[in-house]
Parts: sequence; C-alpha cells; structure tokens
Amino acid sequence: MLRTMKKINLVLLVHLSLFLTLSCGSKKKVDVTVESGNYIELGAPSVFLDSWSKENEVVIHELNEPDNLHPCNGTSQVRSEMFLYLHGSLLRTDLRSGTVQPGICKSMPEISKDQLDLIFDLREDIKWDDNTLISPDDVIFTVKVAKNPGTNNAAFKPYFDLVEKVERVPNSATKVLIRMKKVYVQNVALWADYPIIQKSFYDPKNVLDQFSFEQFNDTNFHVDQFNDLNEWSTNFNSPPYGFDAKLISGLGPYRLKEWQQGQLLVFEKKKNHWSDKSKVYAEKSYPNKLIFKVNKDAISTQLAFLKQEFDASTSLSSRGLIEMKSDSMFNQNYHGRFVDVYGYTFIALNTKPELSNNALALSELEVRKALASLTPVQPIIDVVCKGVNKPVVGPVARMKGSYNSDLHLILLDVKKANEIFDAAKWNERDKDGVRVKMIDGKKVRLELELAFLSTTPEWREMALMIEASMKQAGVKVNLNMTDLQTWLDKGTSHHFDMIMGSWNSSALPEDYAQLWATSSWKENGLNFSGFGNEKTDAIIDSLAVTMDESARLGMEKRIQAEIYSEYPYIFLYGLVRRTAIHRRFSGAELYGERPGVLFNMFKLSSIGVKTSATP
Amino acid sequence: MMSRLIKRFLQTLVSLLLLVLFSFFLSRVLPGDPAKYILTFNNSQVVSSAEGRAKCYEQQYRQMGLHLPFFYFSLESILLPDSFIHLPDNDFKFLLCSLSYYSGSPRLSYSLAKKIVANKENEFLVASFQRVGVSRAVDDLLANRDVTEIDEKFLIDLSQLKSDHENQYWKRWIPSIRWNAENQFHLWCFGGRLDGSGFVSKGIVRGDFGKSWTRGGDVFEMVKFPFLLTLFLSVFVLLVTFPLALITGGWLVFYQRKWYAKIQKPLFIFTYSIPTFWMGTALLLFFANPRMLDWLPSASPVLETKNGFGSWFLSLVSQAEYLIIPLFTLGYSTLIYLSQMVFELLKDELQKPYVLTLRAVGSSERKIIFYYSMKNILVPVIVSGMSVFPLLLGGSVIIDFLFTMPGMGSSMLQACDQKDFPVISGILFVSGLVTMLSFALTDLFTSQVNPLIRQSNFKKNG
Repeated sequence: MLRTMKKINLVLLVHLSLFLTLSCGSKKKVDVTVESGNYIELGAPSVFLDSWSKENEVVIHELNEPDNLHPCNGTSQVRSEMFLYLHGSLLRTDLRSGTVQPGICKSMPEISKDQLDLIFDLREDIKWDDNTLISPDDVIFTVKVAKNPGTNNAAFKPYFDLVEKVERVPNSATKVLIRMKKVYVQNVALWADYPIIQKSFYDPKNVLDQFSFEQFNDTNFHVDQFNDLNEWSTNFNSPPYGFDAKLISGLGPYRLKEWQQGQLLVFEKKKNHWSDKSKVYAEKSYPNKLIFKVNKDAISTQLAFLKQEFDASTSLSSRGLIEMKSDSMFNQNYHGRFVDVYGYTFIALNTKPELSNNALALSELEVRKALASLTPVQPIIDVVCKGVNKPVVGPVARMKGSYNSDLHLILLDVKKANEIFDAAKWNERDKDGVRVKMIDGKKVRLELELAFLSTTPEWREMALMIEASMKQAGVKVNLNMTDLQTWLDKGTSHHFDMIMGSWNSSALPEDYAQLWATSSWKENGLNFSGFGNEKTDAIIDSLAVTMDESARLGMEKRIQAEIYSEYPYIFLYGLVRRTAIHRRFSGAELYGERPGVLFNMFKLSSIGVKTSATP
Repeated sequence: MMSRLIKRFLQTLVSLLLLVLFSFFLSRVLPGDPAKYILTFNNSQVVSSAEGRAKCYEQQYRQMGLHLPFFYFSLESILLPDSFIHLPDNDFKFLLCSLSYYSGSPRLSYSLAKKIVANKENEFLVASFQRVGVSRAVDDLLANRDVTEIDEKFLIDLSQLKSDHENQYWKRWIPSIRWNAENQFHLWCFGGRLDGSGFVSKGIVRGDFGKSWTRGGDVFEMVKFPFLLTLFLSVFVLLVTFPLALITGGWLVFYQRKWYAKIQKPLFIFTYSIPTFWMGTALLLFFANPRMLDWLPSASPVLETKNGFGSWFLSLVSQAEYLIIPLFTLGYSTLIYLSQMVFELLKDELQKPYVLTLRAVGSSERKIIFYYSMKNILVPVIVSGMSVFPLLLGGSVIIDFLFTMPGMGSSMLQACDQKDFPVISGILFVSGLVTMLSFALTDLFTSQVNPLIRQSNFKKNG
C-alpha cells in the first residue's frame, strides 16, 4: 500500500514539475491598449531581419474555412471577407472612412427625387478575366440571379425583395438603373461589397434573359414550371460553383488556385489585371499569393507565429495575443494590436416569458434591473478578457457619433440588487436560498436558465462567473451550453430565460428593425427578448427611412435610451479585434470595420527585396 | 482451416449487417434537425420572412429525404392514416393530429400546423390554446391567413381521422406496426431516387455513400483521403510499436535486476497516465518551439489530394517531419501498454517448467527470452495489439484537432457539428468495417502462429 502511495506521489510530483516547467515563463507587462478609429497605419520596417521571409505572399491564419465560395449561395463571414479579393462590387465599404464609396462605378449613384431610382455609371477600365468590359447586362444578370426563386440564396432574398427592377439606361453603354420598391435607409448600402458576376460566364445560353423582373417579383411564380430555368438553377446551385476553382470567377485581383479542404485556400494574383493601374488604395494588390491556413488549436497557432509560419491573423484570442506579446521574439517579428470594432456581447432576457412557458419572473422590469446589477461585467472583462475590452451601455458602438453617452454603466452591486428584489416582493427564500414569490397563486422560484455558445471556452468562463454572482442574491442560474443552431433556435423561438451571445455591426447607418422591432419578435427574427412597443416601433420605422444624419442622431439616441430603460438586454462589453501582422510588410493598415485588415495592401518591404540587414 | 474461414466470414457478415444498422441509426439519433441546421448555416432562418422560411424548410426537408420513415417498419397509432407517414416531421405530425382532434376543419388544421411548425411557434401557440381553447385559437389564428394547398387524398384521410377520433377514441392508443417500402435506410443502403429533388443514389451496397448535405460532394471522395491518413497513422503506429514493445518487454525482463529496469514501472505509469492531449501539447512546446528545441514543425502537412493517391502519398512522405510529433502522441500509450504486457507475460512464462529444462540443457537466457518464451506469448500480444487498433482510429480526433491534421477525426467532428448524416454514416461504416476486418485477420493470423489453435482446428476437421 505504502509502495503504491509512493509511486502515485512520484507520478504527481513529476506531473506537477512538468506542468510548472511548461507553464512558467517570464511574466512581462504587456501593452493591451485598445486602439480606436477608422484606420491605423502600421508603417514600414526600418530594418529587414535575416530570419524574415522574402516571399511575396501573405500566409493568413483562419479559424474556419468558408462555407463555400459560391457567388450567391452562402453566408459565412470568412466567405464574404475572401470575396473582397475575388470579386468586384458596384460600391465598396471604404474601410478608412467607414463610408460607402464607388466600387466599379465612376461615382456614387444618382438618386431620383422619390429616392427609389439609383443610376450607377460603370467604370470603363473594369474588365473580366476574358478581357471583355463589364457592362450593365452583368449588373442586370447579377440581380436577376439573386432574385431568381430557383437560386438557393435564402439569406439574401429579403434584401433583393426590395429591388423592383434593373434595366439599362437608354442611350448609354455604361449606365444601369436600379428601381427600388420602397424608401429604405440601406437602399444604397445594399450594393456595397455584393459581388457582380459575369453573365457570359455563368449563363452562356442566356437562359435568364427569357425571364423578367416582374415574373421574379410575382410570389406565384414557380421555377418548376420552366424546365430551362429549373435546369440552370440546379446547375448554378450545385457544389462545384462553390468549390471548384475553374467555376469561380470574379472581377477581383485574385483567383482561387487551390482549396485543400479543412486546411488551406490559395489565392493567386491575376496577371495584367485592371486594378494594376487603379489609383484607389483598396484596389492595389501587392502580394503574389494570399494563403489562408486553418488552425483551430491555440497552442499550435502561437507556436506557428513564433516560428513565423503565419504572416497575419485577425482571429486570435485576447489571452493568446497577450501571451505572444509578452515574448520578445514575437514583438521583434510582429505588430500585435487590439482594435475596437463595431460589436458587443450581451445577455438577452426573455421579457415575454408567459407566452413561451419560460421563467415568469423576467416579465418584471424590477427583476431584470436587479439581474443587471448582479452581472459582473468588470470582473468578466478583467478575468476573461484580460482587461482588454470596455463595457457598453447599449447596442451602439462607442466609436459611433450616435452613441448615447448620457446613459451610465450599470455596475456590479449585490446590495442594490438585493434591495430591488426585496422591494419587488421577492423577499421570501426557499430552503436552498433561492428567492421565491407568489404569482397568480403559484409559487415562482427565481431560477433561470442561461444559454450560451459552445464555440469558445470564454463563454463558459463568463457564464460561470455570472452564475456565481447571481447566486449571492438568491438567483439560481442553470447553465446550458449550446451549438450555434440550438442557440439561434432558442432565441428566435423565444424559448429561453437568458441567452448570452454577441452581435456584430458596422460603421454604416444602423437598421434597428432586426433586433428591436416588435415585428421581428412576432416573426421569429432576431428580436429575441420581445422588446418593443408602438412608440419604439415608430422610432425604428422613422430611422429606416431617414437618410439625413443629423435627423437620425436624435432618434438613435432616443431608441438607445428606450432600450436602456426597459432592460431587455444586459450589455456586457464592446468587441475588440486582436490582430497580429508581420513586420516584413509595409502598407498594412488596421480598420475598425470588418474584416479589419486588407491583405492585398501588404507590400513586401523594399529593403527586404533589395538587401537584408541584421539589427 | 476452411471451416474456420467460412465460420469467420459468416461472423463478419453478421457483424457487418449490425454495423450497417448501427452506423445508420447512430447518425440519425444525433440531436438537432439537419434541415434546420443547413438553413441556419445559410442564415436563412434568421433574415428571411416567416413564409419564406417555411417554404425553404419544406424544400430542404424533402430534398434530404427526411420526410421518409427511418426504417422498413414503424410503430404508429392504428388511428393514423397511411398518408401521415410522409408528413414532414414528427413535430408537425403530432401537432396536426392534436389540431385535427379539436378543430372543426381538417383543411385549416393542416394549414395551421404547417405554419406553426415552420415558424417554430409551437410553444407560443400551445400556451395560447391553453388560455382560450383550441377551437377558438384555431379560428382566430386562421381568420386572416391563406389556406395552404392540400392534397385531396390527404384531406379525406384527415377527415377520416377526425371522425375516427370522435367515434373511436380508444383506437388512438392501439399501436400498429406499419410497413414502409420507401424509407431512409433503404435509400441509404440500396439506393434509389427521390422524386422532385434530383436525389439519386446507388446505395452503400454498390459503394455509393451518397452526397454530403453541406458540401454537396461525394461522401466517398470527401472522406477518402482523411480516412487514408488516419489509417496510415494508425497502421504505422501499430507496425512500429509492436516490434518495439517486444524488444522493450524482453529487454526489461532480461535486465530485470538492474536499477534501470526497476524504475520502468513508475516511469511507465507516469507516462501512461499523461493524457494524449497533454502529451501532444507538451511535445509541441518542447520540440516545435523556438524558445525550447525548434526541431520539428508545429503545423500539419499540407497534403496534395487533387491528383490522386500517388501524389497524396508522395506529399505525405515528403513532409514526414510533420508526422513525428503526431505519431509519437498517438503511439506512446500503445507502446507502453504493449511493452508492459510483454514484460508481465514473459515474467510468468519464465516460471514455467520448460524454461527450467532449457536452462538445464544450457540454452542462453537471451535465447530463452527472445526466442522460446517470446513465441509463446505472441498470441495474446497480437490480440491485444489489434484490440488497440480501434482506439487508435478514435484517437485521431484528438490528433487531428491538436495538430490540425486533415484526418478522419476532423472530418467526423465537422460532420457531427453540421449534422451531415451521410458523411457521419459513411465514416462510421468505413471505420467499423476496417476494425472488423482487422479482427478477422488477427483471428486468422493467431491461428497460424499458435500451434494449439491450429491443432484444435485440425482435430475438429479430422
């Protein structure tokens, strides 16, 4: 027995020492300053180290590969970021200014007085890969494909439902008119970064020419009744158009050369591309190759950075980047930066639980208020986010002019929460210390489920901290870790008590309808919590049609105040992008807007090309 | 020998049948609705209108063949008409039955049930039914809604259902076994065609594992190289660890009185008790870290799959240094387990009388251990070695994740995450098949190696 104990002790001792050896390192004070602003220039290196690669290619770390690279059918974030290199669009989101700017058009569209007609004038230097000029027919075709009921692009259909028709402007070879059905704040922004596709490449038999926009607008139009269209749609929807390099064609400066499933995607620069002569900064393309490599494991990712196997990443965790920044080898080779982005984390509270058989307590404003005071936002930021992120008061990012700075942060205050509960007659407790109240003759316990995503361990850490904090005031929290589908199902079907997650936004004008309009709740949209009333709907409707910035400002602040006072969400913190970029490039810039970095602008430092030096 | 072969073949055939059933049902009992997943994956559940979602969902559901029953027979209430078997999903079926029992109009019930399920409003509406009564709730809710198109035959069945329910309520609780000629299992196994969806399959019996629901490609093509990589790693580990374990075990017995042989036990326990994930991480930090020993790469090899097996294998071999840490991580516990087994078996073997005789006639200790005794312990070691094989295949999940290897583990994880049933079934089937074949081969091999087994077969045949 004693011998066995000795062996076990020895095993434990050796394990412990091995753990300590591996985990101990020099603990340096790391700069975790979060930079804000539309763009940050990283500058050029003053020296080019011998250990730096002179290959004119950028190896980018990705956590996930895109769902596909089909020009219409697919919605993953990575896919739309990669489209910036493969495709061209009528308008583009200018990452430096956070505004919409002309893409393949000469200027912003002319807008008619009724704000329904948009006339785009196409540039005359834009050519397809077969050297043919882009024409209005390509734009008409692109919209027709998106509106075609047979195209499997359910995610984009609602946006294109806003389009009535697209047609050539008479007597012009470059102008195209887009007629919208109604005035909407995002009528122009809709055309930013949506890929325009070549008619002759995707529809050489002109099948879609036989069908009009009127037909596609008709809800009784059935694709099955038209063999040609059915056949074309089936073919267009087929996987090769999303995965096969030969069938993926766009206006962008790069083409897909190789896709090793689950491992990497290689984009190769096109020769003699129209953008070579472009003076627009975002259209420049310096690297010969962009290589997107997938790595989900944090440790091997960090090692790969130390070994300079990656050139850039925008997908690092705060912890990972802080650990890397504490290493002089990393700092010598990389810029490691934290940048504020347009997004936030939240806990949505089900404010209409009686309609979905959920915890009735949440229908009480006082309970929601107390829960907000029990949420350890700052401790979460300090422990889980390593002090990087900042707390937020509402759904608008601090960087935006419309951010309502009159609203104050709700701080962790257990005493205050207890007082609120007591005042709201939640003063009795069960044997296990959980608060109870008699509602409609029934004893209701203050026991709530908190659903959160299983995607990263940080969500679980946060949930555990919230559970512990709420327990102090007699609130029992049951944790429920879910996958993305279940998370969305719970939210959209309103079958939850509390649900934690994050939303991304952009610098462009916000459309509040998706998250906050009552119609979005009724139609099982993204209004999870059931927030809203006639007054807030009226503000949201007005915002949807108001283009004037100054007029919008007041309304946006009012809707934030309404949300703040109703506590449908407990707002946690603003999102921060963690970026690492190799110093061997000049011209790299960081943006608050997604995707945060344009890899096509990475210019291999000229000193690296000509000579090499040792520091 | 022939009878043993035939017997083994028949056993394998039965196991294969069970495996087919197991792979199919295991993939189907995964929580979550794959049709909903694909629509969620494509974001359509979030942004499109309720009507649009309902339409998309039904189209997706039918395209995937999910409207068909699982198997050749199913257990239903005797009251349920045959046409109900083909209803989109169980939620819908349940809701429709409940509504038909209470509402006055089958047509309206069908329309309402369809909308409720598609819009995921069940919970909300059930609560509403409880408050105001079902009939009123149905009438209220349908007052301003269009009635969905409904098949006349189905309508008759639905009316019959309502009448049966009113007059013969007891029938609701009587189960009946129904025969389903068209079902998901048959389609997967023997192939077929789904009307209106373009789905055509030859079935797994003809080597067609179907198409991936998320990527659309052939399942076989998708899992071919990941599976080969996992198989290669597992077989390589076995081929290396097996002789190494024999040598190590023999060596430890030979030098068992020396100090370094005496510390092997705690050392083995220590190493064996390190979790695979931890070992992999530690190896990475030691041997692929510029701050420690920067000898090996930290990432996985990029394997060429476009030009067939030859180029894939060449790319694998040419990047052999990428495989050292994964192979060690996968194999260290097997090596320790087998070495310890050889050590213990040999120690027991050396106590047997024939060893005393051998020593008496002057055979060297080395020859006794490595030749005579080793031969006698081979069978249990081979059997144990082969029983480790499925564990190695399973261990690939950790290896794939840690080293981002494009193996079967990562394909399986991705497929489970995406509820891609054809891929899950395909991987389960192929890995099960390989495991079964490996056991059959072990059986044959041990019968060849062990004279006792050979003799018993001979006697039986004689």
